[in-house]
Amino acid sequence: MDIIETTVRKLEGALDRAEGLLSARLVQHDASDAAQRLLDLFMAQRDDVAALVQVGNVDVVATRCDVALAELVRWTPLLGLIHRSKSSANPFEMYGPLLAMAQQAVRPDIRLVVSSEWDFSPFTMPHGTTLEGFVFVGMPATVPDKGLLIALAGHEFGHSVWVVRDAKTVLGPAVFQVVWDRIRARLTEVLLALSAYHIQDEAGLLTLDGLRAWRPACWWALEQVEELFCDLFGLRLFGAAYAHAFAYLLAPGLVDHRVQTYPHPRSRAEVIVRAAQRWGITLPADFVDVFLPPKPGTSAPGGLLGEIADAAALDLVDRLLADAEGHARDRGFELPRAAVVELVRRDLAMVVPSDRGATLAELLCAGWQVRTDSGVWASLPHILAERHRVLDDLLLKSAQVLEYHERIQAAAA
Amino acid sequence: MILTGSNIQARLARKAGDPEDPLVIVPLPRDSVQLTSSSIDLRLGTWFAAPRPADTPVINLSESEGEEDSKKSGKSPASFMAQRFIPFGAQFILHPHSFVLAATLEWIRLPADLAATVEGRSSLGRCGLSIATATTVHPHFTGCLTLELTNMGEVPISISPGMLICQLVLQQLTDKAPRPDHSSHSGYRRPIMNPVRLDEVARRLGARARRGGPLAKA
Repeated sequence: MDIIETTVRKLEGALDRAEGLLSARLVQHDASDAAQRLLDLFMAQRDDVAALVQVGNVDVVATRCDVALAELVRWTPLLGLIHRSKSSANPFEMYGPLLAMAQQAVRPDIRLVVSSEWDFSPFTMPHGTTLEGFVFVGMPATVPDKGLLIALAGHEFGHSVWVVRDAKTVLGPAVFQVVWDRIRARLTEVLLALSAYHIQDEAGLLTLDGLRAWRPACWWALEQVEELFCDLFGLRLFGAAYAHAFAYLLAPGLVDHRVQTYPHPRSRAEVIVRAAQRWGITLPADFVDVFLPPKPGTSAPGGLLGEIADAAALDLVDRLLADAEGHARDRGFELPRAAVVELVRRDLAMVVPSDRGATLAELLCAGWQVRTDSGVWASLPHILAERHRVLDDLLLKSAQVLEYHERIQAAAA
Repeated sequence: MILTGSNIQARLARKAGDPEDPLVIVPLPRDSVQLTSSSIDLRLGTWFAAPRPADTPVINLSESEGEEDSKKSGKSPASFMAQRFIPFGAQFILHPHSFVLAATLEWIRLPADLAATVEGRSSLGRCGLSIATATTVHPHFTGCLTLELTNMGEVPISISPGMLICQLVLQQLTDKAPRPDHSSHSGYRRPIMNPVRLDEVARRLGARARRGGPLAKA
């Protein structure tokens, strides 16, 4: 089988799908533009690979084809995400207000695609140049209450903010330091765990081989710190609505499924509670308890280094909290106002959408209050029978009313 | 008694002071454009539901199943319709003699003492656009109104979300109507297909005919 022909055929398959999306008149313009970017990428790869017939060196051909196929593997899921942005199950009415938030939070020219995911990794934000400037929010396809869940987009905005602020570079030294401090605190155990590297003492850990041995802990901690920042940023933007949506999606958690690049869900919940207390956000008293604790006797997936990464990431929570607060404040985000949330809640309790100039975050906070209050609509049996669906419809319509006013004002200006 | 434009305005303004059972329209109509002497103009929303002819052998209204049964069998009228979102600024093309369900942009909440009728706008009707056949909105309804749009003319019609599409005539009842205790198809932001129910008489008549009684033989 000719490797060039095979690679070109696969790239052309993806090209066909991208072209199909462009002719399908996607509801979201940004989704069409994202499809165009992918089409350009696949086309460039296809042309480069096709030109390899002139190259005699088999290794060069194989390497170039491998690069092209890797790009295909990397971006095909996103092509699927763009395809699913057409689905009528998507919360289209939230799009306008959500885009405005994304542009305020990240930068004014940010693009947004709201779609759905099937693999239970509900939100993605690809980095890199191909889709630089795009935020992708994939709602979990099989989970209802999409209106309420949209608060989780705050986490995704956090990833974009992280990139825009080059936080990985900025926080890298601090992460290194807290991991090192944790290693020194458990030096004997660490030296034993890394005995294969023949490191004798603390100084040995700072040699090139020593650093290589415990580098995974730094990498895991840095990834976890990013996730924690995103949780904090989401909470700061959406208030209690973020915390409720977080618990709705992730609780109780899977006992035997832990990815080392994410903090344990219960640890994330504890950090959310800590931040909520700092910012005056009211959460249910049992918020953390709805998450399963780690199974007794089990260690982190990364073993001792994983445990060190877990602890080190949590050491930076205060700094992350200040960073999330500072960025949100600099970008003009207020915490959801309790008085407005209460007015919205009353509207929803009357089974009408709200038209009181509330922010999207305030709408969602009120929505969660209604959802968690079993007494609402108790006297309306015809509504109560479908309370979750009705609440979702009310929130989506309320969000559309926000867009309605914004469009009229923008056109008048 | 039909409410005048100023009556409607007054009832809408009572929302803040009368939270018990108010008339609510969201977004609030822009007075000078939408309020007429005896009705209120409503706008076209962003959701449409179009039939899927290729997937629909027949919509059988003569042997209607119960709502739950039809959900299970996948033959509910709603299953024959494809929902589609058209954003502000985009258009929906309604071809000659074709039919689509749409929803109003406005969410309406009627109190116990008001009913309403949905009527077309003459300017649209003269272009061949019919907007509704079942026009009564009962007290206690809350939600976006479902419109049945048909292009009766010979040329395609382009419509777009936000345009004025119909008018709502509000009527004062002589007494307050009791609250419904079952599903009233309230609380929807999208157009919906009400399940068609045969009443007991129709069901008995059909059962007799199927058993092969004298009437069936005749």
